[in-house]
Amino acid sequence: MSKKNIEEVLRENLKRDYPKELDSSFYAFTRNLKSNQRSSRQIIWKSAFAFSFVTALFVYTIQYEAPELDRVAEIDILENVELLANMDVANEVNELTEDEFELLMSDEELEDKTDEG
Amino acid sequence: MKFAFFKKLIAPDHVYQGKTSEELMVLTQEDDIQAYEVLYERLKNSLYNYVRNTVSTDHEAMELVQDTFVKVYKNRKMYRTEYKVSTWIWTLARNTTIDLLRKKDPLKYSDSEDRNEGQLLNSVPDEGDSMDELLDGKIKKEILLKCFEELNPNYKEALNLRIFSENSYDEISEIMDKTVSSIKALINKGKSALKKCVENCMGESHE
Repeated sequence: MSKKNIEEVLRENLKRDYPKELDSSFYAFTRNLKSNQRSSRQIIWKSAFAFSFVTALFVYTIQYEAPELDRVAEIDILENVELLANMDVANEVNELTEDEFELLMSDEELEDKTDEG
Repeated sequence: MKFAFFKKLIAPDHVYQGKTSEELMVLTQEDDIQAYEVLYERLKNSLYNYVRNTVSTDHEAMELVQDTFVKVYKNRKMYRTEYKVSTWIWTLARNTTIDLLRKKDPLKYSDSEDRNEGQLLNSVPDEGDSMDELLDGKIKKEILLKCFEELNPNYKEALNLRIFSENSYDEISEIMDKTVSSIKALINKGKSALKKCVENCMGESHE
């Protein structure tokens, strides 16, 4: 018998069957790994989706141009606001102070009195 | 790494079967669980037999094999392709086994391993031809098992690795962290001791 055969004889005699419990615990371990991988992949996809949605919204907001009609209306409103502001300034200019009013009124009274006299 | 999922979609099982253990380990490093399962199926029997012949109970062997495969996955990034996968995995299994044995019997498994190394190197026995003759006869399995159990732990481990890891002397020397010549010496000494034990037991049984 050759030297190789000595090892063969030992291998045959010392060999034992692999326990099935080990298979089930190993495959439970890999199942767990797979489900962890799946859930982390889901998180990655969800984050990517949320990020791209926010980015798209941001870009859309920046590049937004109002329609022509809205812009005409906006100009009208601005013109009206300007007009109103001018009117306020005009009113302020025309407005009499209390003293001026009293003075004006008192002159009129004097004129009335001379007429009577 | 990120493409493991897509690779898996286009790679059926038989594709994995055609790969070497080293290629499977590289795929495992890329988080390919299917490759890891194929690697497990390929090595589980040899690894279990190696561990089972090192420890005394089935329960311990099962625990150690389970721990080893978990360690293989957890430390997968540490594997370097220049090494054989079986050498790396057997080293992990051996270290795990030694840890357990040291916990059980700290004195026996401390640093006694190297105690006889010099002596072994100086007295490498012959290849044990007479053992061939002995094994050629009708040897009882129980006697062989008993004698193997009683072997010096170093002889037993070297023989065990030779028989079950399917590694070369070079690779066994890496696993056991010894020179190739001392591994050869350990294996030959182990065979001689086994032969002596079997002869004694058979002599006793004849009487």
